[in-house]
Amino acid sequence: MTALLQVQGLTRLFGGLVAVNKVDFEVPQGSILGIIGPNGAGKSTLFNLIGGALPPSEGRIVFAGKDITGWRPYRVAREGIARTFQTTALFEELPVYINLAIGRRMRTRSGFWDVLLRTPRMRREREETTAKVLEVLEFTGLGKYANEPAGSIPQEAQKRLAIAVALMGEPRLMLLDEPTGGVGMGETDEIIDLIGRVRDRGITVCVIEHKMRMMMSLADRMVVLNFGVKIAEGEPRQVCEDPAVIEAYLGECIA
Amino acid sequence: MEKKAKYAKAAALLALLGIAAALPWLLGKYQVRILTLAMAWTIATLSLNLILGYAGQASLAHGAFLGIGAYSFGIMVERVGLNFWLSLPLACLVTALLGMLVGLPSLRAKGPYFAIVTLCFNVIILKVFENWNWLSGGIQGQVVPRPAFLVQRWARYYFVLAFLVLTLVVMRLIVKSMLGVTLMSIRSNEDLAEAVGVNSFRNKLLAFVVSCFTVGLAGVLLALENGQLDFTITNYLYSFYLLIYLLIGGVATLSGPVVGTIGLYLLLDYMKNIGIKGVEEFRYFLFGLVLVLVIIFFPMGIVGGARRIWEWARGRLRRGEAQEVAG
Repeated sequence: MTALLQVQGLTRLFGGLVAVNKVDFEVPQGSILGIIGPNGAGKSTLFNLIGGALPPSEGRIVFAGKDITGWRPYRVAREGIARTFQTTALFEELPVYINLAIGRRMRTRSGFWDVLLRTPRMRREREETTAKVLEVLEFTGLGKYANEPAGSIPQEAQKRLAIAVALMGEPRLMLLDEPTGGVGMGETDEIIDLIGRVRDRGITVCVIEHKMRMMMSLADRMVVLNFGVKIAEGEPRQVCEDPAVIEAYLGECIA
Repeated sequence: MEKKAKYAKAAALLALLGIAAALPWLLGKYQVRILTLAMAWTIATLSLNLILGYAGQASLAHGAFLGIGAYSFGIMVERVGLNFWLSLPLACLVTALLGMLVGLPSLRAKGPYFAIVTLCFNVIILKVFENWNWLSGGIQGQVVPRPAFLVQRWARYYFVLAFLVLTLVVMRLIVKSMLGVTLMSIRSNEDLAEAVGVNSFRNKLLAFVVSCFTVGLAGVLLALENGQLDFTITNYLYSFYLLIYLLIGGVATLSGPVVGTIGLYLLLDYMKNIGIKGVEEFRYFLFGLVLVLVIIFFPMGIVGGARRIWEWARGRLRRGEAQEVAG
């Protein structure tokens, strides 16, 4: 398997604080990578660096053989990396289907003059977007919320919607920051199932999660961060039993 | 049902247009003039609605751009001697170009910082027009000659009405398209918009330039109606007036700017002429009071508030029907 994403010596400083410290890892094409670690370990910062929301202080990010270090977020997204945010980010006052349509915008080319002159390109792209919205609504089971404002649907559905918006751009890599965070234990199954089906579509996934049990069954490989440093990497079972991981984070291997 | 509602809406709009077309024959000279001015101001409010209501960027420079559009037109027609039909689009283009030059640095500032930067620009432009007599014409100001076909008061009324309808059509095309949705995504959550591949800066700049073009048009129409300009047309107070018209009418709707601007403009004019001393002097104080009340009780403006009442009433009706069926 070739690596879709390679992170090399990635470092980010906030003043004197080293939030991410020389982290290396690779994500093979078509796999699910779990990233775990205690609060403040630098997991979300890592995603912000890969997604372009923050420029790294040092290190390189290579995606599909291309160096994307320091790119702006919209360029990273167009290259094929989609992401969700820890505090679920949606276009809250806009209906669910519009949220999805916005996720498709980067794959359409209609501009100001197309809109003013209602060119065939605009109409074609509008039809394509509609078809894709319907397909993703079906895939994520959000059909019944299509016309509701995104901020008013249940928390669990919002989490799926964030993934659905990410899917609209047909990414090759998806970065999910706590996709089940803030959702009750009983309601996580649909989200976990969805992440599995996203992988089955051929999309490589990186997941940040706290729920160890969930990660054991979902992830192919895991990376453990603590104080910005990678302290372990490997198969879930192996990582769970790693003394350094138990010391720093787990207490005991519960899974 | 959907289709029926659509036809009803189209019919209502046509009826409204018919009334607007008939008004010059029913009203006195003065009222026609006031309505013409109100419609020109409406175009300005619609321009602010695009950048503030849809793209979420509070520009306080629209007073300056209004004046720039008006003066560009006046100078081209009177001093350069350019053709009327050439000067009109050129004046808008000059305004749009200046908008781009202002937008390039200022749109990098976000939220209140953008508002402050644009307000500063407006204050500078006012001072420039106040002090550069060669530009503004000093105390005499700038004469704006009208072409023969706009000498009649009613002709100017229809001219402005036509541009108002055109502006509404273009705005509708924009906000109902993927472009409008993209602008709303930036207003709603700029970080997420970027994360899904929206180049927010480019889109904001586009909205700002189009907005400046439109407010330039409003400036030209005001200049034509007044026939005379002085430096006060660039006043930053106008930026705030537009903001108040928009907030009271309803942001991010197309009817809001129309209702807010025409309604308030007529109301203020009425209070000016009412002949009661107190009202005349305190009308801007009342203006402020109305703004405060609207923001407290109808945060989405008159149109937003009316919509909410309508939906509430419809909801009650439906529930009533459902109960009847159930019973």
